[in-house]
Amino acid sequence: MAGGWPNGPEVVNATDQGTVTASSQGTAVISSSTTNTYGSWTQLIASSAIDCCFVMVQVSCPTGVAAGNVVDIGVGASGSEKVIISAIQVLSTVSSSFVGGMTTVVFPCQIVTGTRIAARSQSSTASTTMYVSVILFDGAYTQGEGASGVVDTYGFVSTTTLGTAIDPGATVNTKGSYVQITASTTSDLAGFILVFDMQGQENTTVDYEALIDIATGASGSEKVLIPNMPFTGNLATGPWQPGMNPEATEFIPIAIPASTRVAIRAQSSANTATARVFGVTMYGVRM
Amino acid sequence: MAGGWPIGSEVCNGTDQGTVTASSVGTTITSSSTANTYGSWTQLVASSAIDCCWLVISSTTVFANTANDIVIDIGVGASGSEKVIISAIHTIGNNAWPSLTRFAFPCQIAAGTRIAARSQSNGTSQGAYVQVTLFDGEWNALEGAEGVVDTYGFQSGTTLGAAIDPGATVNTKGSYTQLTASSTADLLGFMLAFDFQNDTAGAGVQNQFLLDIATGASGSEKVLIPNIAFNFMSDGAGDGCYIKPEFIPFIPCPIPSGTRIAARAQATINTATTRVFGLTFYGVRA
Repeated sequence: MAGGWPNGPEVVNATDQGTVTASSQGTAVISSSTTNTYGSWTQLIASSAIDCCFVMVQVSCPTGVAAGNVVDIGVGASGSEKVIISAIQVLSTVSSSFVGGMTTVVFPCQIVTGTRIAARSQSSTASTTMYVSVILFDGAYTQGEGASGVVDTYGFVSTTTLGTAIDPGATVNTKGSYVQITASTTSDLAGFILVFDMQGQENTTVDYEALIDIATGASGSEKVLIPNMPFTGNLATGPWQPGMNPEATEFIPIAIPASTRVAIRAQSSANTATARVFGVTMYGVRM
Repeated sequence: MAGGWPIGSEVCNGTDQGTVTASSVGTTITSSSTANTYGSWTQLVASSAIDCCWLVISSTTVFANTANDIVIDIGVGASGSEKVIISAIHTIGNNAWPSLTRFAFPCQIAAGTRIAARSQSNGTSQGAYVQVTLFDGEWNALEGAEGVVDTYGFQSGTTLGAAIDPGATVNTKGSYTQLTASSTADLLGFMLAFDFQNDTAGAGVQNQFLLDIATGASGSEKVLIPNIAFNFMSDGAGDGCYIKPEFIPFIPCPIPSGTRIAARAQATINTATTRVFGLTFYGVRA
């Protein structure tokens, strides 16, 4: 056993920002009136209440729309926001009568107290409302200075507001071909999160179970970093299915060096053309 | 800023065990023919392939499982002598489609260990697919947390979590519900899982919740994590429902031994019964 999970990673002082308790949800963030284009920044908090080294971002609820919806979190003065994580995918419902999905991601992220935190969104449906809040955690006194926590997003396809399409192929329960998520990571990564989407395949009456491999290395020489990570896709007919379980993975603290090619392949219990295809966006947390 | 998130917390060598690639699922674990009673242990792997310090567990309900909730125990050790390392991982039952609960947390399992799972359900002979992925620590990682998990709030008699009632006033926090009077060990952090409290065919309820996790004596609770958000939906036709997210991943927020832990919530809907949800708390020992 090379090592263990150190007792040191401890967080404290959880403080939510952007919550609207009067409606039991986050701050409304509305996408642009132009599809697949970011809207304006909306402030979650003018001055964050605590130093933060670990953050939980909660994005919920596009209703009555289909396909892609994403949120950016930024810090800094109005008009000068710096994106710390971009394109957090959240699943929608087809009917406005039903609440949508919720994507919850947690990851190391340094935000000094007194920072303005804001969010913006884009959607494949114009003027879509998403609800956003964050919970900030400080590090315990035992902690050394740590990862910057800026996040590099890979695989996001801006023109569709969806992740990279992964096709498990026509043979059920057999791995398909690798799909490149990035040709070269831009920074050393402390770990990553994955978020899944349906590629707009609502109402296709297909449910499936899938396994994905996350790999690094040159095309044709990929080495699996994590094998057979399971998730389910639930696209059954109905107006209300945010149908990926889970919608997001946990933060996986596997380091990936800068300039690494990352690719994903999958197998599925369903081989229905189009419906078997799902989307993946990868959020790499910088050292 | 007291400190940061240390760069040293790295894992490697991801290795899955219990996967059935021929069907793209985990190993089938079937609950007892008696409701709310654990079934037999089923082996996921006879001898684990690597040393593990970070464990990911995935539990998926089988299609069309008639809306029965299922909980999973993971154990290590020889057949007949399994030691539970985490109990009652809750996976939501659903008529329409499979649910998946995925927990990742620090957990020490030496290479060569037998790993097994068992389940119970509030139905009978219900199936779930279970798979684990083991990760070793990097060379620069120190010896770390044991990772045995203490489960609080689980109601064995119903296979559900502790009932949390947001109360009759919408968008206003209800009373605290105790999850444990006294935690039995120092906790490195915790995970949460939600359930419907069997209200899977509620009358088309769409609800949004904010949850506080708190510690301290009754009446003097101090909020540890405020306003964790989640959504609930049942379509009223009895053929589907969801909670998003179904679980909250590992949060490394320590809690000392002997601590009372409680939860309270607020919601956008105050319909009696349907506003009530279930919560199970999984505390990872330091």
